[in-house]
Amino acid sequence: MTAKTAPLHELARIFRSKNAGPFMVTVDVFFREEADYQAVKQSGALTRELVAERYRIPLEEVTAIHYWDAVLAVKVAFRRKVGCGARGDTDCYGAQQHAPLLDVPVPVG
Amino acid sequence: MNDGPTRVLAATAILGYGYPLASFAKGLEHDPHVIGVDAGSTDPGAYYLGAGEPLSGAATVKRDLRPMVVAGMERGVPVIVGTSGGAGGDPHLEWCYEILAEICHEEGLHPRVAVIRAEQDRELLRAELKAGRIDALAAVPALTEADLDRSTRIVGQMGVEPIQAALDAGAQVVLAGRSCDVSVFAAVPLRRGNDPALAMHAAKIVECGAYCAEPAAGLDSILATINTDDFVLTPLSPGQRITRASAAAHSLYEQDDPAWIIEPLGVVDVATANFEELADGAVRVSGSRFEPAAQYTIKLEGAALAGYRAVSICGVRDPTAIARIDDLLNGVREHVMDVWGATTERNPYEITFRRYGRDGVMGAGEPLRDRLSHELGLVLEVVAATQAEAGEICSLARSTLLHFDYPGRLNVGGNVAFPFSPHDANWGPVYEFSVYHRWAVDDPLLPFPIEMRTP
Repeated sequence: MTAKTAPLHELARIFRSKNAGPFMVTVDVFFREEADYQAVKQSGALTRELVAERYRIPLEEVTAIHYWDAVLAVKVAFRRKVGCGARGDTDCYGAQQHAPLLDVPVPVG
Repeated sequence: MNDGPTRVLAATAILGYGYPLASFAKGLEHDPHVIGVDAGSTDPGAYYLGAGEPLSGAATVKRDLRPMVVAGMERGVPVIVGTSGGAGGDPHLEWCYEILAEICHEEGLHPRVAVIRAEQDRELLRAELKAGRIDALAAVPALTEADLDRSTRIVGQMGVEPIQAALDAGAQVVLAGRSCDVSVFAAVPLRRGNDPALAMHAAKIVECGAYCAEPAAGLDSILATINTDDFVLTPLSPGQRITRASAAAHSLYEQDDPAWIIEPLGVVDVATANFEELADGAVRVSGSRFEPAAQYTIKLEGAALAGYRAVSICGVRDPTAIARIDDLLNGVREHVMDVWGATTERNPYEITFRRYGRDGVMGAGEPLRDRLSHELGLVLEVVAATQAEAGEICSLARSTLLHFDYPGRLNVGGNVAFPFSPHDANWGPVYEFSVYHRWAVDDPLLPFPIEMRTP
């Protein structure tokens, strides 16, 4: 099968990586075009399994993938390895944790 | 029944981050019913809570707070500061009060100030834990008595009620300890009888100042007007507008579920909200729904001391050293253990090498495991039981790092480049969140004593 794909960052308008409390990180992805948003949503390109694999974390630590049609946004939420600012933390604000999702292939066309 | 629309002026995202005075002045032209600002967050980590240190600088907090207090007193409008001092503990509150008192002295003002404490008594919490009234939030293990014992400081996030009680008592300025971000901006609209879903949804958006605008401007003021059936977000800076998308986007900011804003009183469901762009860059929001909680709860946050940190920063440019970095760092670790002794319960210390240019940001989660860059930044970090030990071990590891002979070494002059002399810095105590749990309380006022003062 040679379905055409586009990396997620080419379809997205904005990525937003951020703590949600001291023990969770959320990566919000916003789209400009309904079609791009639907391509991601309908294709099922973003799965908990894929997020777990990309972040090298157990599946149960990926707590949610939420779509919000009205806003053309998808939110990925996962547990931090340690609380923000704790020993071993690498990103206190969780502000740079989106990178592994940038090139997720999304089937298009 | 209500007192009509409520206009809420949010000065900036965090007190001390700064905001344009022109935007704030424009906000005042709208005749606000309350001037509010959030002053804290858990994002910077547990250090500030544990150490009792402020997050922002005193000079910038004073700069930000002065126009708010002056305008509030001139207009008879209450000024509310949430999570004073960054973490909202007692030392943070007193620090913020001192700044407020200086401003009042300099301006010749004598407001009635409510200081609302948010620190919680360990023994009371122990009894509540035993009574099964404290449960875990997502991603956190159940609370234990040991967690309470090792916590240096524990605060609760107050709801709107203590702030409203302070206003009822005649407060003109409210310095609140740890507060829900929403409480700061929803207290007055709810007191005036506005719809809870609209009041709390609006509060959730403006707690970050004009961060919901385009271009995003967390360091700017914004106005929210809560009406009977909707609320309107109005930008206050030239060239700034709030769009349907930007307002909606901020509704799901920092939440792990986009549809819900969870507050002590209940949950605001924003999935049903409509966003409509108006003239002049404003946005009208309607349709969010409020579901009251069966049990009133407040969030508890505690910080525990985890040791003391020392740090050394250096870089690597030699290709062989970059290719063999694991051999080098493992060798350093082994040498340190040989000299200082292995890490044991009686000799607790941790050495961490952060490798920027490889996996410094993502750590073990970095998916690109095998890329070599031409340059690596190294941060050598030691956490030990005392500052003196952390410094000693850091010094030992740093000198070992410079001279250690790893297999295949080409450049024998030194393995790393130090930008600074001295090479090491004692970074101070390390705190970690020890409590992040939900407490069922029947009286929203009881955990948050209010003290009236006049500077």
